Amino acid sequence: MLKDKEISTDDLTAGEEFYFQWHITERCNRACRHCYQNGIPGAELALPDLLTIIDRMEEAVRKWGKKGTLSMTGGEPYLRRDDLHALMDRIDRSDCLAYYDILTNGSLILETETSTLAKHSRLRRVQVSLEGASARTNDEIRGPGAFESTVSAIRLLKDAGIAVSVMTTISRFNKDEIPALIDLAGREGVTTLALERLIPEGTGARLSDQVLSPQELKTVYEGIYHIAVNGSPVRILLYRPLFALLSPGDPTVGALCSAGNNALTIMPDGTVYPCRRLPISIGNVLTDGFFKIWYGSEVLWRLRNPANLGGKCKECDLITQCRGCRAMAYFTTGDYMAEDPQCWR
Amino acid sequence: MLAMKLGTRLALTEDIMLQAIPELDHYYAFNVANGDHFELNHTAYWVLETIGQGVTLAELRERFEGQFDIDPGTADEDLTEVLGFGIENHIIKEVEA
Repeated sequence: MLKDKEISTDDLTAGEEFYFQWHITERCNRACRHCYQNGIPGAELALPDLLTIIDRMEEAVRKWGKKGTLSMTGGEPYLRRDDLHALMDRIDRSDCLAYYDILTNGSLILETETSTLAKHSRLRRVQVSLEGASARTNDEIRGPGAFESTVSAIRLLKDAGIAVSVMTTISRFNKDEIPALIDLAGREGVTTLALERLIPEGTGARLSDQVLSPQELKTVYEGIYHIAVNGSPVRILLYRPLFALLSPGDPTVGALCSAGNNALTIMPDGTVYPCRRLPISIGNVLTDGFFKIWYGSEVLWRLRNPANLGGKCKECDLITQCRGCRAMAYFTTGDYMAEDPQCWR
Repeated sequence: MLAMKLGTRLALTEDIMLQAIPELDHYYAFNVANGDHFELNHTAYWVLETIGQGVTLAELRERFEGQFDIDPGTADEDLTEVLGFGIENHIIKEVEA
């Protein structure tokens, strides 16, 4: 049975969950053209400090009466293989961290370790990334050999009974290949498919001409939604800003941005961001702690107040379901409260 | 009224932080050290915010009556409730007699 079903993570609602996206390193063995990193790895913490961060996550979610969930990622987290396994061992024993995903490019996962990986009780999924249904499209963005490597990793993980998720960053490079990618994910037995928009930041800022126009995004999202509700071979995660515009009455479609609401991103040196795609430092978990950051950050309080939204987001009648992507606003206009520039309304 | 002298000076406890989103009628007090968090109504928030400015109980009572245009008896009842809540939950403290 897949871990996904054993842990029943779908039972957690946004109100019950507090999510940490944790980058334990920025080092990576690939150099994807659309990456939100700037390609210059910074300082990273040793294992004792990482374990202290887990203690602080637990302290926070206990106080808030929530269940903690995590994604552990990088860079490429398998470049810290031993530390990654130590962190998994620690979280497996937690009484308040419900589950974690590992976000990896998959290239460093060894066949000999998948059985060990499958034994981690709180591991929900391993997420890998594909940018297209063909090596030609995928490798144009992620580098030569990436497609074959990623598909091999999916099969390796599936064979070990580990649930696999695929993440795709939508741009002009691959927008026409999304339906084929959904088919591929289905054929490979992928559990979920997450689709994010290309944000022109980090290395990806050089691809700003590949960011979809509002009308292009609308067309792509309509196509995805049509497949998702008409027998998609893979579960497509539709709880992202702007999806709500397609079906405002459907609670499974669209979601408020989690920045300032129920999520934080932790960088390799302990710096905390509202979201990985919104890299504004709001403190350091080791020196400030989560309480001071969560309660005191002016950035978070600005994000929480919809009256601070600009442009058409401020007046939108879907403001309780969608406030756009703050990172897209930030990297397009310089103001993270500006209207989402890809909104087609 | 609480067992306090009117000359008692009040203060927010160390590590207490007040936050508000007035547009949503959301008011809070947070302890950034131990994570305690309290949802407040506007009146309680106003009282705590005023205490944070450094006032005596007499000054607080006078400002409170003026702010909310209420009689001294009602003001005392409301203040007693808010100050009792604040002391019980270690949000405020007496700093001098």
